[in-house]
Amino acid sequence: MKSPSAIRSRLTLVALAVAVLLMLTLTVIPATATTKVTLVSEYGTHTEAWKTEMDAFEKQSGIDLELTQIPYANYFDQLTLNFTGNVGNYDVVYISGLWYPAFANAGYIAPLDDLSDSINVSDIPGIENAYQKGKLYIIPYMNELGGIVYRKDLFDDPDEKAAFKKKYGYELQPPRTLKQYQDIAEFFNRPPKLYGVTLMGRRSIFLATHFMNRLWAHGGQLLDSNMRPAFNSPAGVQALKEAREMFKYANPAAKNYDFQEAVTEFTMGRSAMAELWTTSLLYADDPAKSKIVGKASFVGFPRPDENLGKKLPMLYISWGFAIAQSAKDKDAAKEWVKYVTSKDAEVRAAVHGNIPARYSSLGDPKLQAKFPWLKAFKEAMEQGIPTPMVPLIPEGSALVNQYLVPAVATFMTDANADAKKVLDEAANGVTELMRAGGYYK
Amino acid sequence: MTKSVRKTRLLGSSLAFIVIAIALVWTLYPLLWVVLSSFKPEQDQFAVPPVWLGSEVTLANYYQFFHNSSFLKALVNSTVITLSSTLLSLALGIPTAYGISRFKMRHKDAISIGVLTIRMLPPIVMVLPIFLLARMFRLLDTYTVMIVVGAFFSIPFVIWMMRGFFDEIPPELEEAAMVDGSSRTYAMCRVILPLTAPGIAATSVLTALVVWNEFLYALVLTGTNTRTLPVLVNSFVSEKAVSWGVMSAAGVVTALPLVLFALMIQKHLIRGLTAGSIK
Amino acid sequence: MRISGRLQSRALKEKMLFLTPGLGYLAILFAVPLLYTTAIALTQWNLLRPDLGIRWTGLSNFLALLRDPFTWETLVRTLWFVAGSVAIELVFGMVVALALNRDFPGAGIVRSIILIPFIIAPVVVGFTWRFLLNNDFGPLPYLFSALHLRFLVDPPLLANADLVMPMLILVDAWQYTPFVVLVLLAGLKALPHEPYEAALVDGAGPVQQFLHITLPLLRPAILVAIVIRTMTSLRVFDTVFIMTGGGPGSSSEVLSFCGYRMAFQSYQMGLSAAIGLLTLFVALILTVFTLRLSGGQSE
Repeated sequence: MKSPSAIRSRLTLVALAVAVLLMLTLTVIPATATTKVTLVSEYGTHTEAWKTEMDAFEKQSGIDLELTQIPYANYFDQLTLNFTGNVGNYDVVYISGLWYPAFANAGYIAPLDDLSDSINVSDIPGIENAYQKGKLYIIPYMNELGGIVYRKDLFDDPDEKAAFKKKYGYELQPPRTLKQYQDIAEFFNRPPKLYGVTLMGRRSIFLATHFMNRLWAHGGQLLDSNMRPAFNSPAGVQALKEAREMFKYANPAAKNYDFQEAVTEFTMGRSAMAELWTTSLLYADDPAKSKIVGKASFVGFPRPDENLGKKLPMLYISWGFAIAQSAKDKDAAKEWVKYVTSKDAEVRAAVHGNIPARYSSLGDPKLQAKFPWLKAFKEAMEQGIPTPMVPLIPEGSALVNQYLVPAVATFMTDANADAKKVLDEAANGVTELMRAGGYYK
Repeated sequence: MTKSVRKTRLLGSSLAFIVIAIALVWTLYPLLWVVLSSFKPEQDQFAVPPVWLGSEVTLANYYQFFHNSSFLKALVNSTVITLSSTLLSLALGIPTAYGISRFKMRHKDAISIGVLTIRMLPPIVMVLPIFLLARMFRLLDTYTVMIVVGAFFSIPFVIWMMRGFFDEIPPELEEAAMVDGSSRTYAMCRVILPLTAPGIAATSVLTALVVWNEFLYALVLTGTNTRTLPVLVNSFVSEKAVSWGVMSAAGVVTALPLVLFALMIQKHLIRGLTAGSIK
Repeated sequence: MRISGRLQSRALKEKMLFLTPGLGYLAILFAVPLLYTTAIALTQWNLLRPDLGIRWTGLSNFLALLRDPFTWETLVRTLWFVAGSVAIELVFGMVVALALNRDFPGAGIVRSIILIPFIIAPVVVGFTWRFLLNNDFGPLPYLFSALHLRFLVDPPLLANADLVMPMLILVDAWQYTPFVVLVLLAGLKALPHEPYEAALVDGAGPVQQFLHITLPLLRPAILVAIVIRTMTSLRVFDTVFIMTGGGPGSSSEVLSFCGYRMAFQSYQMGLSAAIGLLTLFVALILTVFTLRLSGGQSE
């Protein structure tokens, strides 16, 4: 029989071996010789578009790119977790323009001011939304506007035109005023085959856009210059009532729609108009998904008669590239951002499903030939004040999602709700939120 | 036996049969749906009305799953984390269980209650401080933190289960060995552990099951390098573009290995799950 | 018999050798995070606003929670979930266990199959049911429509504020009834035969036998099932996270999900820590309550 101490030492040896093995598995980190830049994005048409430029960049620069894609529903959470945990998995992040202020403020993404000359910022509409405290943090890659997408074929149909004129006493054309918008929605509302307008009624930020569109059209705003809530103004009350009114001309199922379902209804040819944003035109022109290829166009959001011709805020959605503060090789990361946001790369990628950010790309004749509605889009962009649907402060998302969305949803589902009251309650909540954020002295 | 008794017997049997049939359908319906979906081609996933069997049986979903680098990486991560956590919790838990089973102690009850408390602790209490501590020590997105935490919440299972097995072995066995002059450690390793080998196997399976299926800690503590299968499965659930067929295949691959192992040890399972209060 | 001091210290050393590593590991990993989270709960700390720093705010997080009606709604919702799922699982589990407590060909296979949902990762369970309940191409909504139960799926089950919690309870029952069956079956197998034989002589029917013999004798097993299921259903997170994300609105938000959302979506560390401690408190009360039920029943 072996002595106990021998056994113990053998045991210790085994334990040591296991420990060493464990340590080895923990420390196997692939050594890389070439410069590598890690990218992160969601799965979406614009990401699929710029992905097509990755190979060419790698060849040209000798920099390796590695892309991680996370489904949209989890993207923000996962990315924020990665940032707040200081994990530093990603060098270049492709994010919504609504998210970057929080990241910038917390120091998770780096300022890019040294890029502003080489990328010619004046060519990018809405670039003023890319600055925090005077510093540039995000280079917009995709820009879009909220408004009305409509069925050109229906609007141009001579029979429809005649019938409309007979009923309403004026020509059928894409709506410029809120009154026209409502008339046209009523006119085309022929359930169950065709609905007047597609709306998004699910309790989400999408529902809130219907309120914001109207708030801005009436000259209102979410926050005033002192960062006090201002959406419970008469303009807000009016906007909330009008938004509910519009659901009369929508599919009853729309009360539960979010963006994806709304786009599907429109691209299946089941509505004459949809209150969405320009990306939906990319879906409409995709033969694999759409029954209305080439039949859809765009018009900016209508206003009340008295506000026609004014330069008002318009719902603006932008996605772009930012660079993580933790990026190991910021210069390499910047090379990629410069490359992919250049006019040529934007135009090349756009045909794969993106609305490019730059005026110069939007004006590109070949691109306009492929997407005729780009002209109307460019015009609308020039005439409105691109305004993000969430104020660009760290509290912005909470403001809309935690206070505004519930208020709008309550008013939509509860026929007895008082518009002024629900907005006042939300405004009180927002005041608290802003106070906690240190905005008021 | 009277006629009425026989009649109630018959009635009881038929009732039992009906109950079992319903229970089987209730259990199998969702399982079969996912398993069959994993063999359905893409176009049949969206058939209206839904179809149980596709137009053909295809392995394309599994092929896609195993050829996707992120799925494969998650499979490796889950395996590494599960195996290491299991080893660690066995190494720490078995001596403890042995000690609790054998030694006379004044605070045995206190220890039992302490272990029970840890087992019952809602993970949401611990996940935030552990996240912040791991962040402080730069351990997020490493195997280390997942293994340490995995061992933490599985050690109570090891203690309960192994204690039961040790209790079944008469102490005279190792006392005989100790009379020969060998230490208790030696006696335990040489005499007792071999006898409880089946118990250790069952315990490892239960521990592996608990770690493998864990989601909340993994969601918060892992990153691109260490993401486990449940986290990956979750991240694709909400995606409309992703194929339900591939997802189903991922679900089957995530569930299957542990189901097979766990069914093999089902008669021991209950002891580890109920603090040994039921054998 | 007198034990020499040397032997005694050797015995103590031995004890330490066996017990310290495991118990020490548990104690450290339990106490350090718990103390840390208690400290955090006394601060205002937003990870997305590092410029604001960490500020001591005393008990204000707890006061804010107690004052917020939403906390109470969440608490009540969670308790309903716990009560509902435990009750259903107990009833279903008892019925199935009684049915399975007999020998018939294939009994082993049937038992194994019934156990499967319990072994599957909760994430996969959640995904499975989301798939089954999908309004566009899931089989269950189709089945409901075919049975003229369209009102059940319009709005979709998981988007229906009134039906989403019952659905989650049902899914919980699907997953955990097997556990209850397992426990009760083990209890049933261990029952003595004599009382039944005596009852047969007295001419007691099966219902009386169940009420007067089986149920009282099975009491310990039932209590174990209740205690463990109460504790584990209180921590429900995975299926909620995957199937509903707390929605629609917040109609399926339970305590653990609320804590997660506060920490990893709003990044309010202090509030989340406070919610965690509140959950722990509820867990403790429930444990004491369910143990009281057992009235001193212990090993």
